[in-house]
Amino acid sequence: MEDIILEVKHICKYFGNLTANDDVSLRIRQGTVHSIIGENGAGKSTLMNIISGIYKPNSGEIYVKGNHVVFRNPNDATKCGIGMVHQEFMLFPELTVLENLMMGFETKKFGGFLNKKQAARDIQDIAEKYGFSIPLDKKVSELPVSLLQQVEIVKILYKGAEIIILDEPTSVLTPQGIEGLFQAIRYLTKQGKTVILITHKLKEVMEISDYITVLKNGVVTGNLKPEETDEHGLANLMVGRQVLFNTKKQEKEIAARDIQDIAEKYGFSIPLDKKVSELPVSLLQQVEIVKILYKGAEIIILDEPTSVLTPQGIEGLFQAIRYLTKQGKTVILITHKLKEVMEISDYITVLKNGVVTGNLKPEETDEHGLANLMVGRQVLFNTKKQEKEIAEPILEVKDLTALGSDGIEKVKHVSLSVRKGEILGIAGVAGSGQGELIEAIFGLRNPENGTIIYKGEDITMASPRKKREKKIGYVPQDRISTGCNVHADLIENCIMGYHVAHKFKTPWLINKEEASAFTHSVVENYQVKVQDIHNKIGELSGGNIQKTIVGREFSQNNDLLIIEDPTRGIDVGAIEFIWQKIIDVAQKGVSVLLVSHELGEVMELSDRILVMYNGEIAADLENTPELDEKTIGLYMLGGKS
Amino acid sequence: MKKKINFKISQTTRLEILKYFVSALLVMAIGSVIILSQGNSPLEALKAMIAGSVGSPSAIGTTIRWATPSIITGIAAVVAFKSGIWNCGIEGQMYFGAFAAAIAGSAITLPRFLHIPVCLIIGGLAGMAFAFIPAILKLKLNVNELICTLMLNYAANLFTEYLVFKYMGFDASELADAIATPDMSQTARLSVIIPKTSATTAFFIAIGIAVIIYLLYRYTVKGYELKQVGENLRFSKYGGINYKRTFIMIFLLSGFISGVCGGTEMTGAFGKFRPAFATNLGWDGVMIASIAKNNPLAVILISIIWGMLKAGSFQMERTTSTNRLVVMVLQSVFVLLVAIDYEALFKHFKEKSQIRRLRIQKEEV
Repeated sequence: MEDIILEVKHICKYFGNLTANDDVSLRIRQGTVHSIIGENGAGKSTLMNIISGIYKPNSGEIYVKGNHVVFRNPNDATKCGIGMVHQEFMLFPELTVLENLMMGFETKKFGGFLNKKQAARDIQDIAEKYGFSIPLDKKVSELPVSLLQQVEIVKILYKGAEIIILDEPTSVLTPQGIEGLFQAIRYLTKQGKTVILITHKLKEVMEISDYITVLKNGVVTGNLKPEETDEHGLANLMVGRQVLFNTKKQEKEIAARDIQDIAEKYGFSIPLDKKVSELPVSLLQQVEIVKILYKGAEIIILDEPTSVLTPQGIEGLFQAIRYLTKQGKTVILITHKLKEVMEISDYITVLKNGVVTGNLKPEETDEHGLANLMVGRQVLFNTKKQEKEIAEPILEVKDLTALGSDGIEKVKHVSLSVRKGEILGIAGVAGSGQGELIEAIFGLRNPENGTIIYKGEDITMASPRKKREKKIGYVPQDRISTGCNVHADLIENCIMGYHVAHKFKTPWLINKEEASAFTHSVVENYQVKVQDIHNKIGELSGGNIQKTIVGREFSQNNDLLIIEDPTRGIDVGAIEFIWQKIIDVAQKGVSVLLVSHELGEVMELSDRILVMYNGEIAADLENTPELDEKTIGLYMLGGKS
Repeated sequence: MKKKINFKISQTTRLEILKYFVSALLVMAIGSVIILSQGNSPLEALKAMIAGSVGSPSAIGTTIRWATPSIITGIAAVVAFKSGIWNCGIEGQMYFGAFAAAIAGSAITLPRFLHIPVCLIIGGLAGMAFAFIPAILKLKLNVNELICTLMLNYAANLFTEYLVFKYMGFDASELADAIATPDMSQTARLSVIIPKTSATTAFFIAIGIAVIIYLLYRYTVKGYELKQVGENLRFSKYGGINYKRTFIMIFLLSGFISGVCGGTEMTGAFGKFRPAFATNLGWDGVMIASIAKNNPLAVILISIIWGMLKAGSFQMERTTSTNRLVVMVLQSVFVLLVAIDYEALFKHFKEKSQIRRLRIQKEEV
C-alpha cells in the first residue's frame, strides 16, 4: 500500500543571501500523514511552496508517482493532485462557500454560464465522502474558523487533490477543533489521500504522524517515525545548538559596544539610547564626531563647530580635539573666530575671496595679523562725501531679540538708532545675526522681544505693508528670491511697494500710464540696461536687476532705507553707481541703515559703524579717517570685546 | 501684455503654439491606436465626434451645454492656481452652490429678473462658505489645502445628499430616481438659446465671468497682488502685500465662482438638485486651467473644445461601438503632454550630452 507518491530530491532555494532550503530530499508515501517540523524560519513553508508550485527551486527535482515534474505555477501542481491549505485562508469573505469553492475551477454550462447546481451536487458528494459538513449557501464571513479550514480542504479535494498540504492548520483552532481536524485527516488517509502536515507543535506531531521529517536552517536533520523517538528527541533535532546568524538585535548590541569603546577612547560620553531631539547641542556635536570616528575617519573636518556652543561647550570640544590629535587623528577646523584659532591650531591657512592669503603658525602671528590677512580691503574708489547735517533719530531699536529660522536666538538684545540723514553701517561676518535683525526691523520676522520706534511711533509688530506706508524702503540681500519676481515684467516689478505706499490715482486700478512712467523713471535714473520695460526682469543681468531694485526703493520718497549687501556679485561700474546713489539720498536727508558683508563697503559709505558679532553689537564706532579695518576686523571676529 | 499691444508674436509664444499643435496631433495618434486596439475604426469615431459636436443645431447646443460649466470651473481653478493655491475642492464647492441655488429656486417667489441673480448669488455664497473651511485651516493650522480640499469633495457630495433627504423628508425607501429637491420655479430658470437642447444663457454668464476675471488680473491692483503672491510669495510679503488676507480672498473667490457654477447648472440645465449630479465637472476645470496655463481667455477656448469632445463622445458611443471613456483618457493625455516643460527637458539632455562630451575629451587627454 505504501507506494511513494511524492519525492523531492536535492531541493535548494535561496532568497538573496538567505538559504531557505539546502539540499532537501524527501519521500512521501501514499495514504500516510507525513509531518514536516522545524522552528520558525527552518524552511518548512518554503519547501511546501516549492512543492505546490508557488516558488521555483534554484535546483533539485520533484517526482510525483515516479514521474519527473516541473511546476511553472500553482495550477500545474493542482493538476498533479497537490493541494495546499495555507496558514492564512485564501477565501473571499463576501462570497458564499459554494462560490469560493468554484473559484478557479468553475463548472460551466452553455459554454460560459456557471452551473452552480451541478457544482453543489459534486461538492456535497465529496464532503459526505470525507465526513465534512459545510453549508454551501452561507457567506464565508459568517462561518467560524474551524469550518473555514474544512472549506479549504474541501476546496482542494474538489480540485482533485491527492496530496493535501496543511500549513500550520492547528494554530487557529480550539482543542475541539483540533480533534475534529485530526479525525478528518485520519479519514482522508484511510481513503487513500496523502497528508503533509507542517507544524511546530510536537505533541500533535507525535499523535497524528506516520512519518516525520525535521528541518533546521533549511537542512533535513532527521527522517523518522514517531515510535522511534519522543518529543525531546525531536526538539533536539529542531533546535540543535549551533547559532549561525547574528540576529539584528545582537548586531545592534555589538555596534553599541563598538561605539561605546570609541567614545570612551576619545573621552566622549554620549547616551546611545536617547533620542537625538532630547540632547543639548554640545552633545549633538559629540554625536557627529563619534559618528565619523565610528566610520573610521582619520581626518576630521569641523565646519564652524563653535558657533552653536556655549563657552563651556567650546572648552570641552577643544579638549576633545586635543585628545583626538594625540591619538594620531588629524583635525581640520573651519572657523572665523580668531581667539579660538590662536588657541587650538598647530597650523593656520587664511582664505580671502577664494585665495590663500597666508600660511602660518600661531606663534608667528597674532590676532591683528590674522585679521589683516582675512579682511584687509582694497580701496576701489573714493566716493565723494560732503558735509551734511545729521539731526534727530528717526529709527530707534531697543533691546531687540529675534530667532533664526532654526529657532536659535540670532539677534540678542540689540539696540541701535539711526538719525535723519545718517548712513549707519552694520559690519560683521556673515551669519552674525544681521540678516535676522534687518528682517525683524522690516517686519518679515517677528521679534521675540524689544521695541522698534520709528518717527516716535511704536512699529514693533507692524507688517511690511504698514512699514511701506510709513515710507520705509528695503533693498534685500537676496535680489532674486526676495527682491523681485523673475517671472514678471519690469513694470510689475517696479510697482511693487509703490502700489501700497504711493497708491495709484484710483487706488484699486493699476493706472498703466502712471506705472509705465514710474518704471521709465527708474530705468532712466538708475541706468538699467533694458530694451523694453515689458521684458521679464529675469532676463536681465544681476547688476541690472540690482539697479532696478535699488531704483524702485530709492524712487518712492522713502524716509528710511534699509539696504542689505547692495553690491554683492555685480560689476565694478554698477557698484560705484549704487554707492553714489546711496550717498546722494542720504545727502537729501534720507536715513540709511546699511548692512554689508563687505567691510570696505561699510567703511566707504557709513557715517557711523556698528559691528555685529554673534548676535550682539560688539562695537559702535564713528567712521573717522583714523579708523582702520584691522580694528573693525578684530571686533568682527570676536577678537576684542 | 506686449503681444496684445504690438500684435507681434514672440519666439516663445510661437514655440508654445507649436507645442499645443504637436500635442494635439500626438493625442489623435494615440487615440487612433487605442480605438484600433479595440477593433473599431478611428475614422468612423472621428466622424461621429464631429457630427455629435458641430454637425447640427442640437449638436452645437450640446457642445455649448457642456462648455458652460467647464468655463466656470476652469476660471475657479485659474483664480486659485494663479495665486499658488491648490484648490482641488471645486467640485465640492459646486455641490453646495448647486444645492443652495436649487432650494432658492424652488422655495422663494420672486420676479424673474431678480430670481435668477438671487439664485446664482446664493449658490456662490454657499460655495464660498464651503471654501472657507480649507482656507481657515490652512491659515490657522497650516493644513495642506490640496489634501484638505480633495477630501472635502467627498464630504460635500455625501452631505448635500443628506441635506436633500433631510429637506425633502425622504427615508431610505425612496427610489433613487426620485431623490431630488423640488422643481425650481420657471422664474428661476435661464432661457434656452438653442431649442430642444440644454444650451442656456448660462453660457453668456460663463463668458462674462471669464472676462471679469481677465479684467481683474489685467487692470486692478488686487489682481496684480493675486498674481504676485502666486509667482513669488517672498517678494510679495516683502513688497507689502497682505498675503494672509490674499490667501483667504483667493479661496473665497474660487469657492464663489465654483458655487456660481453650481447655480448655473441648476438654473440652466438641471432645474433641480440631484445628489452627485456633476461627476467630474470640477476636475474638468482643473484640467482646463492647466492646459490654458491659467489664462482666463484661453479657458473659454479650451472649454469650448472640451464641450465639443464631450458632446462628440456621446454621439460616438451611440453610433459606433467605441467607448466614450476613450475621450476622457485622451483629454488626460493631452494635459500631460502640454504640462511637460520641453525646454527644461531639452536643456537637461543637452547638459547631459555636454558633460558626456567633456568626459570623453578628458579621457582622451
